[in-house]
Amino acid sequence: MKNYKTFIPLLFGCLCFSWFYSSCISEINFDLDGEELIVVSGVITNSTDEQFVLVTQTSSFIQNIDTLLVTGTVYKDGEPLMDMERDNFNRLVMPPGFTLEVGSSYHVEITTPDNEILRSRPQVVQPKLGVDTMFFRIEERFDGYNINDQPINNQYVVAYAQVSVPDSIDGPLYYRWTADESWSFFEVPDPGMPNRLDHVCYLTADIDEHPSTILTTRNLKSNSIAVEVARRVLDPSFLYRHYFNANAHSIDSTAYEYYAKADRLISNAGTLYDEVPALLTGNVYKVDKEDEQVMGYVEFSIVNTSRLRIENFEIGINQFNQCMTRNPCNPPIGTPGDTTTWYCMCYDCAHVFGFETLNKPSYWE
Amino acid sequence: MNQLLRLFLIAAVFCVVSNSRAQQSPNNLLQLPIQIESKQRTLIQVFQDIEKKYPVRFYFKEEWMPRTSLRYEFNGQALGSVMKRLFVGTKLNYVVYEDHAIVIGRETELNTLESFSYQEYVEEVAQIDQAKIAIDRDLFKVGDSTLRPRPATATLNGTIYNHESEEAITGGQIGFPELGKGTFADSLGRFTIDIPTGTHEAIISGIGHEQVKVRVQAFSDGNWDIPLTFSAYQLEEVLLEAGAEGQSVDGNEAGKVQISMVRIRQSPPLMGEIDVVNTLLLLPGVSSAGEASSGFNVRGGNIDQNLIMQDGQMVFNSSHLFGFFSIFNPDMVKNVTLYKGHMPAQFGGRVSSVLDVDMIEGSYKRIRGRGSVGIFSSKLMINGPLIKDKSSFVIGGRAAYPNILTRNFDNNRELVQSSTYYGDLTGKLTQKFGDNGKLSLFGYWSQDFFRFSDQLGFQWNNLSGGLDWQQLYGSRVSSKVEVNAGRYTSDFFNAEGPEGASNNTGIDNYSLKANVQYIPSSNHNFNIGLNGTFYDIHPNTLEPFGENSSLLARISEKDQGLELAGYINDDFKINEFISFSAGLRFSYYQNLGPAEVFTYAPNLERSTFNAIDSTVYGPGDVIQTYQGLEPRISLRVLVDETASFKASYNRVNQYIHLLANTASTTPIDIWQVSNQHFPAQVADNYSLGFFKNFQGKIWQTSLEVFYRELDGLVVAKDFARLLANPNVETEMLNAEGLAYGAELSIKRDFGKVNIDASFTYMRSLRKTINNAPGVAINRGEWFPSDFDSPFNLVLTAVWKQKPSRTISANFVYRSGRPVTVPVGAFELYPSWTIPTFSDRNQFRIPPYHRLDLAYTFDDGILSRRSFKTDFTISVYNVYARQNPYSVFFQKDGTFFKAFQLSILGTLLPFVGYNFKF
Repeated sequence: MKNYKTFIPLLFGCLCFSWFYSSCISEINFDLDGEELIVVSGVITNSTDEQFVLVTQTSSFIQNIDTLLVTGTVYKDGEPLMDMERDNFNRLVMPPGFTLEVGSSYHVEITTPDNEILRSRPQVVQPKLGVDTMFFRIEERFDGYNINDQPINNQYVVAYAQVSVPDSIDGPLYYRWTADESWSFFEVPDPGMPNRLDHVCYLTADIDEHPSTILTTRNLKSNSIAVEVARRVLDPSFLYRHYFNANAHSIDSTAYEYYAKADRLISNAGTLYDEVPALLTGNVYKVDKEDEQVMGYVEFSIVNTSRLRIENFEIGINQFNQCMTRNPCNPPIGTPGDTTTWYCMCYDCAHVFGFETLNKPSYWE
Repeated sequence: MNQLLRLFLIAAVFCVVSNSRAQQSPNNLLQLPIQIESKQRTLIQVFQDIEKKYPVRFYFKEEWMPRTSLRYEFNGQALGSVMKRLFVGTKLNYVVYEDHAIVIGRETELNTLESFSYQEYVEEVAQIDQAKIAIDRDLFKVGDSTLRPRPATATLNGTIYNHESEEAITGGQIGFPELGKGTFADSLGRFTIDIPTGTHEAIISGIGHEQVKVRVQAFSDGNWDIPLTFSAYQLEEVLLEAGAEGQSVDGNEAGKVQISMVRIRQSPPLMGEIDVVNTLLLLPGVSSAGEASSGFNVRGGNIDQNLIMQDGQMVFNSSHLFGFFSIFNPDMVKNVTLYKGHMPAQFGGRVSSVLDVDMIEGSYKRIRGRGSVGIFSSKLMINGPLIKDKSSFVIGGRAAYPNILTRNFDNNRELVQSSTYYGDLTGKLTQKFGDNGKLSLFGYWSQDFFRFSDQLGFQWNNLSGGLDWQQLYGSRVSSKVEVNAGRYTSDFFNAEGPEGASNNTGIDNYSLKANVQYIPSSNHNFNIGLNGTFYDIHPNTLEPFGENSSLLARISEKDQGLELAGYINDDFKINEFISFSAGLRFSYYQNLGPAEVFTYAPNLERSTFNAIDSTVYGPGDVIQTYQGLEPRISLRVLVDETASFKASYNRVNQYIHLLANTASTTPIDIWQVSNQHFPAQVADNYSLGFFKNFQGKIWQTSLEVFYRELDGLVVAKDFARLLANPNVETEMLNAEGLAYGAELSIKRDFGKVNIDASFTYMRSLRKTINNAPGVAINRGEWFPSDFDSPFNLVLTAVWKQKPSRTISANFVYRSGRPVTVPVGAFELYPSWTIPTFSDRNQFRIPPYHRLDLAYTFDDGILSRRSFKTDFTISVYNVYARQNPYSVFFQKDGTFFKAFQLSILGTLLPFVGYNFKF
């Protein structure tokens, strides 16, 4: 329901562009200098990934974010459970052996260098939520305008999670998804190329195109829904094999409302039809000064990961008629102009994407 | 006299002579005995001398007139003989038009012109001129001349009306300068004034009408009806006479502004369209949240605090096309009155202002029409008699189709698939019953539609109708009874994915108004009446839309409220220096069931989690009542005939709110009647002004200060969710408001060049109060409202280059509107960058300013038959100022950059073609 706020001015803006060939968007200077606020942010889950809480300060628009040297303790059902350990990145990391127990209440307490105590409000860990299947569609999406004011429409591979809500549940369920992806490049199958596996590269990335999706079953008309959890422009990352990994966090209503507000803040376009924005406070407060604002959110949740594997033939990626490999690569194979075979240019995937690894992800098949 | 007009009249000779009406009494005129000395006078001077002395008008083209001096002296010869003698040796001839005009032309010209082309035009002008002559030529005699002994004073009663349409001129003014007396006509055009018996000079004016000077000889009490003509047709090269409109030194009511359609038509149009509300925005104290924002704000009040009435019908959304235009068809508007300060007791229910838009009646004489064709829109209005002199009709419609441009954007699928249009239809039937009764039936329909591709869309509709009965009882008492009904609905759809939904909301209203006006003497004008309004707010529904939608339908409960009011108001004069408009209104309100009303835990945030009880009310059950006495008073103290002080105080109650969580209202904002959680809004309005004229009334200046306290407001919580929320009270906070400012106005309203300059300093503040700890906006401190605009400068100039050529210009400067901006950001694990925002409305976008120009000309040569056309060439935003519509922030690497979006960020030239017949 929020998009109309963006599109009304967009329409008139587009009219303005098109009628008079002059840009209606221009950069302006704002003398902004907000007060620095403490930010406590963390997502503590049951996954095997590293679990940590990060304590930073809000940045003005001309500063980078600094982390604070703090200490912290995790509480379970109101009792201290264990101290967190500060790592080289000034993160408070959960010690090995930490596990979440469904139905228990957790919170963290953090002491700042100024001896201020920051505390998150206790959260009861919700049961694991399932995702039935994942699937994808190729969809065209409008991506704004280029420097010549021409619209940009791109093809996207959009990953969906199909969620079925149990028939009998006690109250609504609340989901939050994060997603990541990985892909690799193989040269075309060619019996003449031995040692092919040496030329495989793997790439993994968090998806920032669509960083989070939230869902509540509160207002659903059916007990089955397809939710978009990730998307990526149809690009050479789909040349061989591509994984979307959707991590479904089981959260409570408070966390859901927080993420929903964050999502609305990010979606605001600054127009007259935007909801009036406001400072987004989370579930952390100063114990001695509750009226002072603390930003961020500390989430304790059970995560259930689903994967979507996409092969190049499923999306007709052959149209690229190219392949990619690691350096050093072999000379091109195939015949230029021959559409019946692959013509493989020798791209360096690290050069193209800027990152790579030889380590195959654990789930890679 | 205007030469062009004279030429038309010359060209009309043959039609005139063939007109049966014209042939009725020429001989009488030609028999008029003339006694005048013409020695050493030119022919033109002779005609002018005769015009001054006798009831006859001459029409001619000056260059055809010989410049030689004449030697004749006429001592009682008949006018026919005089004309014959004057034309000896010239090639001039003449014809008589009706019994008062002589049209002079060259014999050759008279014989060759295709006069039939101008027949109706001439007839029209001649009719108007006839009215002028009727006023100019005669000494008006009022009362019984045979009465002996003659009384010392006489009470004159009468009606100031439009000669052409016979419509009463609301707010017409009659003054006797030598007596230092004057009065205003009421809403029915009626006036009463006491003057000493004898002969006096009077000046009569009306909004949008030409001012005239006449002599009146009062013998005793008597009736005097005065016809005026539209100033659009005026024959003299005076555009708008002083005091004809707007606030004046004389007016009783502080902050009352009347605008004629003549004035509105002279404003540079936007996209070729003149508009009532866009013209209002040029007035001091009137502002809006920005371009493309709905509604308007008066002296720091909310949009929903304006009582907007179209011929008595309540209007809940006055905007077309998201506020670019208003719903009022300018061809259907008679005049516009804005009460931004003093609010007479007849009005109530909105705390900030009253916008009273009177629609025209159809002509009782002949079919007339007006229309235009433009790039974006076209319109047509026709009016005329159903039964001549007894009943009339007027109907007008507009259609706008700006989407024809978007269709051409082949390279943008979204725009090609987008669509927007609006249309409206206005109609009115009027039936006279004798001289004292009149019944009017009014109807209005409008629709706006906006769709962006297949992703989202809006539609909103206004539908209203009403019946009013006006009755005169003698010369001192009249009544008006109105029955009105209206419906406003809005729909929104968003077809994007699982959240695809359509939202519907709306409000019905039914009202009954009865007013009795009693004018016992020229010193009192009483209005006594009763009002009743029933609000029926539609349930706010949200339904799944689109095949992929997974939403459940939601619906909020309907709300109903009944508002009753009684009032008495008197405009009275203590003496010639001090006058009052004073009134008292009592309003009583009931919030009615059915409803389920929740009770929330005290001292805790009002939320569904803190609901501790609920009560179910059946249909018609009274849930909550509010009531209040509303004193209204406005005082005018005349320092001398050129200066006055005015002061006013009003208390006004309002029992309805518009709930919004955006900077500007949207079509789908929710109307909410007062209930247990939404209190009555109460405003105390104070104003004080000094008015001073210079050089007669050529220069009019005023300085007004105002102060307004508002209680019972509600403002949206941070992150409020309003749509289809059955507990919408949990999303709003109680608040109070404060507005204050000063308006300085300088106006030159005379001659060819008219200038109007105003500077307004205006603040509008809000503060949340009586809410649970932790939820207050900006910690419970005062903060600027969304439309707070401290500095406003408006300059308008109209140069009536010729009677048919007008150049006009507007310059507008406004402070940028307040905004809430991100002053920092933080990273929310794993990858969100969340902006941290300032306090609400603590920053401002850059100021808004623009210059508009318009050139309007009509050319009778292009007219065929009675068809009259005019063209308007206008340029909006001449120097292509990229005014900020909004400000948004985008992350660029690790930093944020601020950008402004301009909706109309360049100059917009338009050509409009208008016609009338």
